[in-house]
Amino acid sequence: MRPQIEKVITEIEKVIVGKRRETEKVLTAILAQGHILLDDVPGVGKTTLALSLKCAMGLDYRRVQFTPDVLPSDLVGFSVYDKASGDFVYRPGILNGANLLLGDEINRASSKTQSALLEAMEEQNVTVDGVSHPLKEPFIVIATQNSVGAVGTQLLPYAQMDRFLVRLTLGYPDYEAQMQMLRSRQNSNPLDTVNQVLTRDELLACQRAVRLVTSKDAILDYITRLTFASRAHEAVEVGISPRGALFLDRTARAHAWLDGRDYVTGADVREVFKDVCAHRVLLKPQTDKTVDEVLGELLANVDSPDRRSLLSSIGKK
Amino acid sequence: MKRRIAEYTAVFLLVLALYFFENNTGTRAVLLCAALLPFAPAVRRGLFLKDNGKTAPSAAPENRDKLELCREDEPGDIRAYLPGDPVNFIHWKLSAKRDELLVRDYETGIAEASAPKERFTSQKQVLKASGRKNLRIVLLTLAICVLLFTLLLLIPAWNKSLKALSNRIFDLSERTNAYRYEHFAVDAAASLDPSLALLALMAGAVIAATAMTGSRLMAAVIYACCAFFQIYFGIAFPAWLNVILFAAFALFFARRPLEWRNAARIILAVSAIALSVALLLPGVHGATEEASERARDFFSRAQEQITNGATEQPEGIVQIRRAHTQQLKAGEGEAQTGRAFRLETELEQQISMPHWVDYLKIALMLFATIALVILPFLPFALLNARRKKAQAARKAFASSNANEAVQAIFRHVIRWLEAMGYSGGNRPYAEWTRVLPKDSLPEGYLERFVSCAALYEEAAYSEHALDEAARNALLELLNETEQTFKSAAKFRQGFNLRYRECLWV
Repeated sequence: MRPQIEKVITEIEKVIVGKRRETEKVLTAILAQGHILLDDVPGVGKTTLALSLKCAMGLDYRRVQFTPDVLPSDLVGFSVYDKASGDFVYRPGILNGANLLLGDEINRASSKTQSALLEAMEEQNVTVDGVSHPLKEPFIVIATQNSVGAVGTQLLPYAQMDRFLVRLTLGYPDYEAQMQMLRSRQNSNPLDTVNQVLTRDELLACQRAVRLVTSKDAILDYITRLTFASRAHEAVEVGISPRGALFLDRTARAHAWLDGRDYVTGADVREVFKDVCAHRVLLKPQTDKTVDEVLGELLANVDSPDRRSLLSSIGKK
Repeated sequence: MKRRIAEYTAVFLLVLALYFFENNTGTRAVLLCAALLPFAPAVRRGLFLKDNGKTAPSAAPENRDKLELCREDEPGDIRAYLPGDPVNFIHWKLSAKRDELLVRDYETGIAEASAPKERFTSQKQVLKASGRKNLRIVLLTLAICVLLFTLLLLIPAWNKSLKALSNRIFDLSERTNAYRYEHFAVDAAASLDPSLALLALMAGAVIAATAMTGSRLMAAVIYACCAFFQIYFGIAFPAWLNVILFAAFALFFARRPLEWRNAARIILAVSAIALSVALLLPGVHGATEEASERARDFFSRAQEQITNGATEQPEGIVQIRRAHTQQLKAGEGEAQTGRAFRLETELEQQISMPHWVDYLKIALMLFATIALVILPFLPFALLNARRKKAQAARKAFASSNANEAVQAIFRHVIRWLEAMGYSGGNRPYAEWTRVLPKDSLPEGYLERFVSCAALYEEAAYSEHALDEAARNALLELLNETEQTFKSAAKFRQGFNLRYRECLWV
């Protein structure tokens, strides 16, 4: 674990108790310059996680609580007529000032609002009236959606889910963690005790370092075989997209970098595979398998690069 | 002690069950099963994989723990017992699927670059010497058997019986039948028992000899032959004789402690084989006996139809022909019409030519014989192909590029582990520690394995150039791996030696 990221995790753990793994995954996604979809029941600390991230890394934080009434212009800004100058003036929206945007219950937003957000996520800038306004760097979206009580909401379409780097669930804390959480909140808010241990520039440097991590052909071959196998799997309607493969590579590199290496191994890919790909796989309706099982089968059946090199060294492929 | 009791009880129960099976069904499958026993993979695993060799069970019962096997440290190095090519050795013994085992040859060259050749030669000599000694014993036994056999032939009862036996064996085509009627005519009532008993005696003598030389394979081959003869030629040893033979055989192979699980595996494997043999091979089981009888009827009927039923009276036709000729010579009667003559000639030709059914029988017989002869040598053919691969691997070990060498050596370690049955499959190598037998590994092995796995990954997936220290660390790990597993491997190597001795290769 890189020391600077370790510090961040230590700070976050003051608030989010017993969720070190999930925290690491979130940080991995951030380092891979990706956006995160938190898919979970209410009240398990999605917002708190985002807040503590903001505090620990000194990011500009914005939050949107999505409802059907939130409009695209709320996000990307709009132009108003300025009488004095007789011209249209651009009023920035929520996205413009944000490094870290928490889009709460994104599935409650109308589809046009979702689209506006997703475009910004992809392009890293917003365009209003034909003028592009670059967003701040880094620009990270943590969107949440509740899988329960989803009646009357607009579930993210498959194509839009694809743009999130990872889909994570936090899950309930265990007994000890919850007890500790309750105790720590008796008289104070632990969020106040989170110190900034990383500057924005340092974070950007980390992201640049991640981009320099090596993925050798053996790894890319592994990723490609995994995605191909996902498309050929009998229970799968739509397999992992090329973008999914790209994201898989990127996340694996971030994972490797976090682990203190400058090269990706098969283990990195396996580690991040389910998180990156679970929301990119659409199963056939008649199958009784879960996505998790299907991805597990892929991991089990597709030769890892280690295995591949072993087999090829003895002339079996 | 408990294990011994378990072992003998298991064998006893097995024998009892087979006795009832054989007695009640009339099957001759038992011997075949016994002969197949050492070759059934599951059984072989149970019997051989965990074997640590020659220690008498009573001498060190506490050493019998299966995990303990790996712990027994033998000071001699791994290469010592492998004159030929240990990898190849392990290779075909374990399973044809795993090519990994070729490696042993490799290490001899690498880790002991200083004096690999001398060692090699001296070991070969040792092998040859022990081979010669065993060879003498086997040859002596065979000579005694032949002598005994020849003497017994002088006794009329034996003589007759053996003729009857050979009649049974060569009961193939009309042509051979004609020959045998002429040269091997014996009473239809001649008993086969004396000759069968003689054969059993000889088999027993050879088995005893192989037991002295420690070669079980020889015994197994003899059992296979016994079973084959019984089944193919329909010769039936009495059930009790088969069972005794089998019991001796089973105990012979079960000298080492049998765990309950292994015993269960054996019983399962034997039952499966017995069942399939009983169901599939004609002439083995009472019910299939009928089926095969019907099949034989069908064949002879077909033959009869084609030859217009003349098969049964060749003599008659010839006599008619002769009578005609004599009549003609004597100036009596008429010359045969062309048509009658042609018909008779046709019949004659058909009789004298072995029919296609006979060709089929002969072909099958030839095939079976060739297969039996070739089978034991097959491993050696595979062996040579694999030796080449092993040599290619050796080159990579000494590669000037440390990255390549590190990868090759670590892959070698992995093949060792897989060969020993510890495979993590698709998992990253660092996680293979979960499947390794922690108790039987030397102190710190797992840690070293993990660090070497990291070195492997660095060599395989990064742009860094590794140094000689990494190569040495890997070589050390490989060395340690071999040391750890050598006792298991050693048995297999020993088995290979005996196998070669048996075949006099």
